[in-house]
Amino acid sequence: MHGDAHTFDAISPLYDRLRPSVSPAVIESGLAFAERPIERLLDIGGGPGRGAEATDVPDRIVVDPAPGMLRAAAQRGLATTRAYAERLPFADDSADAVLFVDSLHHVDAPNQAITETARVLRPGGVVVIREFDPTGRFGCTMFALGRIVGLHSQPLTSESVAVMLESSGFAPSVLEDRFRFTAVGVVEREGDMSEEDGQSETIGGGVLIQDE
Amino acid sequence: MKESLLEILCCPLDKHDLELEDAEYEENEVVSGTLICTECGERYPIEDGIPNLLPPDMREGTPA
Repeated sequence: MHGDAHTFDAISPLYDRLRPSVSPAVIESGLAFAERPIERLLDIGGGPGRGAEATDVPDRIVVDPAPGMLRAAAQRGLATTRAYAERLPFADDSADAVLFVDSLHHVDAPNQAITETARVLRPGGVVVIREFDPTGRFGCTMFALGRIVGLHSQPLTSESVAVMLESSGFAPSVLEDRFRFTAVGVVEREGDMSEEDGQSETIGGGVLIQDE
Repeated sequence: MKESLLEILCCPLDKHDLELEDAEYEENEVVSGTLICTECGERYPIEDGIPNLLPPDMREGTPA
């Protein structure tokens, strides 16, 4: 396995218990940007499936390279697929929503992962990316702890994620809170581009969502 | 995995459809078998009911 997958597989039983909880309200507020009903969601780098579990989407698939994590997700009754974010094994236009909850910084080539996300999402579909803010003290500590257990994560700023989203054809928005940010991208529907391109003006916009 | 997952799964390399071979079932779930790309012929195993769609060159040394 590449990148951090081996480490995660080794620590998966512990990680499942210690991982910070996922706030359903924050995930929902990101998914609300979708311009279509969400029937199928991919939780990419989803580990034991906490992100997917925080939603009530009918068809939820956890995608991760680490088999130990996926077994934990399967025990929760979630569908699972072992894969890398840069090489998604899903057909074009096959999902309505994609989550990256604290996972994009573990991906070796995050740009490629976002390009693949744009490919699998249907028009009007949404990607929700949760990341620790690496410029804050809490984020700094999390990344330092990660390095101690042998993870090779690359901290991402909200600005860099917004640029990635935009270059893959998403209309991005960034929701800030105390320790983390949530970047949301919506796939343009056909015809949207000519009618209005005002959505991209919300980059880095001041929508505030508090963690509980 | 449920067999219905096959409707959206594809080859991670060339994104073509997959065919299920040697499937074993337990209570409507596929617990083992092989997914084969209809274009490049690459084979992807289903292990403990979890389809392993890691590209072959990124699969080395992985526990089953």
